[in-house]
Amino acid sequence: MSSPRYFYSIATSLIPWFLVSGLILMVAGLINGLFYAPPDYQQGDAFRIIYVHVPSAYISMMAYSLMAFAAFVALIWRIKIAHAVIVGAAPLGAWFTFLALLTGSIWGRPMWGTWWEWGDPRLTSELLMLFLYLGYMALRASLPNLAQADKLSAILILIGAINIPIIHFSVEWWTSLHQGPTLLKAGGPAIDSLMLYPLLAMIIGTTLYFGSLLLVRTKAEVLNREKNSRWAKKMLLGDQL
Amino acid sequence: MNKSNNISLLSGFNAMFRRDCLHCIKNPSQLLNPLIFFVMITAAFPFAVDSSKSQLTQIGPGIIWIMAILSYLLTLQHLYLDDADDGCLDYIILSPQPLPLLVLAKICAHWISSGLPLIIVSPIIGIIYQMQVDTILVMIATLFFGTFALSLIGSIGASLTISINNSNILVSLLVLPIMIPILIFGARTIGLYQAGTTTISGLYFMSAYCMFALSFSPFASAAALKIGSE
Amino acid sequence: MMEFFAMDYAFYVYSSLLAFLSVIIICTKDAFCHLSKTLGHIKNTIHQMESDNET
Repeated sequence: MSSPRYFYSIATSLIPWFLVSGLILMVAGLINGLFYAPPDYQQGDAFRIIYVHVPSAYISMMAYSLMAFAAFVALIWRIKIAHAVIVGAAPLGAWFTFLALLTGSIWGRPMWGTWWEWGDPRLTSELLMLFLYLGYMALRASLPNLAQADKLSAILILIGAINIPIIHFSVEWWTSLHQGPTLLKAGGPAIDSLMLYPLLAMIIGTTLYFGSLLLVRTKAEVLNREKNSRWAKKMLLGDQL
Repeated sequence: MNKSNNISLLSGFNAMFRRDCLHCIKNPSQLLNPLIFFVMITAAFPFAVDSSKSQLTQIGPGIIWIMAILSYLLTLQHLYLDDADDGCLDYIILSPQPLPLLVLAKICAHWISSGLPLIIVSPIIGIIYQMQVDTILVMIATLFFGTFALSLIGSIGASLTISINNSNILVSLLVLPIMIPILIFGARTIGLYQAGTTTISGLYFMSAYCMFALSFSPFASAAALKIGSE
Repeated sequence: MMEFFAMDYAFYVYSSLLAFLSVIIICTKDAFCHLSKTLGHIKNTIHQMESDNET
């Protein structure tokens, strides 16, 4: 996987599969979740926001973990592909973090009576997660030298990653002093399977979809980095020669 | 082996620490301006909000901590950028001493020049915000651990942006989310003490965070400095 | 099966759904546009270099 050329061909063949299966699962999950799942006995139909909120929150966490793993791999084993993966994952992760915040806030409005509740630790730490993504992208954007930008931003990602548990813990400690509403603890073990399966379908589908877009972005980034190599020229001009 | 070629780790640390402290004494404006900024803005807050005693004691810890972090962010640009500008940084990196150790010496000197003055003037701010003497002592304890942690975290941000011109705002963007736990625990510990509940766990957390930051910050900063000055 | 707008909190459910779908569309469009732009850009520079070599 570490050879850019090999990665490029693998990615090209994987993208349509990931994209199509992800979209099918997402459509199925959304339709089932919105129309066939029974309403929650406490929250009524408002709980249906879970089908977009939880997948986006999950993707935002997963994207950052993936970036942290890639940063680790890139710094320790100096695998160039890993840097391209980080560059590809960051904007997607930031978008889904923003989405998790937005849907969480929309969910909060009918449940808590307010668009933003500082008492909910997950929403608050998600906001800090968005700041971490933005910080990474700001650092990346202001470093013109590619090799330098790669390594420095990888260090930043790792520092952020080891601080995420601390940030989460401190936000939780802080909100426990407020005793804010904790209605968002939806589900639990006794969740109805009609509610659960669409959620699982959404989570898996969004992950596959994220994977396909990650491959697209990483592909573009790899190509941009390898534009002077022979294989890239050959492949790009192959249809015209 | 000749003794002069074989400088011990401690003397390398000491030399770096002394040099930075001296540098700071010779440029007192670098030390004083953030401090004046801290005092002036914290003193300006009561004009903007309701300045009754109960209100001030309620918002005081938060304002003091926010302003401590802000004035700290202002000082970060001097941590490595001055040395990078006059070329000293290359010699520091090339020196036979381990770079993380020298970075730690710089961080300690930075704390002496930015954290310690902040702690020294903080009782005045505490009095402005109607704090009791024992509350001021708790505030000094949180500032003691907190500013050292801020120096450690800030050093990472400053070293990451060493090759960027005008990086002041960028540094703030990078390190502020990581500094949030310090802010939460610093301000909340004082607030909890004022409310009459337990505070020792907050101080434990801050000292633990300090130790934790001490374990990775010098290494991360050293790596970033090496990459940034290539 | 439920009626489309018959659910309670329909406004909140559908606005969050709309947000989700728009982010999905933005991300997809952005990623593929980025790829095709990169491809076009690199092709252009290669052609440029070839024509420079010929002259």
